[in-house]
Amino acid sequence: MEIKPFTFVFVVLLAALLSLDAMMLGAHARKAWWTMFFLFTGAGAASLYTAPFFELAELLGVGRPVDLVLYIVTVVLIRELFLSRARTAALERQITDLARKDALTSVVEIVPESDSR
Amino acid sequence: MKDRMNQIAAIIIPCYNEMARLPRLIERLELELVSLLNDTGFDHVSGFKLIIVDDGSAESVSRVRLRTEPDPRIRLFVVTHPINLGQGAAIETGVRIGLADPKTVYFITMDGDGQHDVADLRQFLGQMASSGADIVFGNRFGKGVALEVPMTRKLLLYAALIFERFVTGLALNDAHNGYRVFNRSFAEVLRLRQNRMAHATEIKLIVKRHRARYAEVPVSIAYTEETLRKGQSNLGAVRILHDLIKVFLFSGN
Repeated sequence: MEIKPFTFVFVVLLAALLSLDAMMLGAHARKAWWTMFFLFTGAGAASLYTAPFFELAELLGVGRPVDLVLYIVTVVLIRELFLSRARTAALERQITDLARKDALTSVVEIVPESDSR
Repeated sequence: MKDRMNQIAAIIIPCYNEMARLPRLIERLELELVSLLNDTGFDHVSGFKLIIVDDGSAESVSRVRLRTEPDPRIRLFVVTHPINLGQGAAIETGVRIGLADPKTVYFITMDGDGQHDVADLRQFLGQMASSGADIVFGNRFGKGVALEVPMTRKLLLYAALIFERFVTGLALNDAHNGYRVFNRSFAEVLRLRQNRMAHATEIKLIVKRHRARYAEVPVSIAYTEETLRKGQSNLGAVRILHDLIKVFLFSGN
């Protein structure tokens, strides 16, 4: 099996990125990290044994396996974008309600000081 | 005839870091309001409540004052957001304070940087009374402006106007003018969810949703070099378009 320079560099960079993520995410996100690790490892393995994936793509009527991955990833990302915006909007409303509740308890009427002369 | 003796108007002034200009605005407002209230031809309200909404400014606005011997028909209130939320959120806070007083029949919003002409208040309230509208919008393009609006900003505002008309169906000529007046009926259905500049479009969507009657009056905008710098940059005008899309998708109005 020939390993091309790009493949080597790509794997090294990916390993570095995963190591950085492991340091940043911390123990509470270990499952998330392992999930990422197995996803990337599985994708790497799939790239070495492509025949079954070509058969799957042909079965589904998609040109190439990578096209299928692109379609799925595009749908997931767009959906995540809209859901993320909706979640942010909901969070902003909660913060606003909390800040306004605090403000409304301290409305001050400004009464001018009388002239003491 | 309505009992004018028990009707007041709330003037809501959202402020963010405006202490350099706010005292002068309050001074001009107070003079204009006293003039209105002393005018025998002015019978829309018998008093005014100025509501300064400090939107998390670095410098507190609690130093603002009315004159040492103020007119008892004009009262000044300050409410402070603990963090900066945006002009839309500040207006919503001011409206809720106004609604808490059953005597409040009109709600006026104006910017805290003094660019809105206080003399336009008379025609705003006159238009409300004569047209029976629920809300009257200010239109800066109906009169001359003190300084020319830069062409690029004009084009972007025009694009925002076209998009707003498409979304709201309202035939208005100024996409983003903070000078407006509405009655209590409209204030009671106004629930602004857009904290920042997109609230201006959200108000129009609420008008459409509730089939509120609306009108428009020409107003003067006194741009200065300072307010032009502080005001929306061209990038900010592009942001208005972005916010319009956000309102369209996520406002629920």
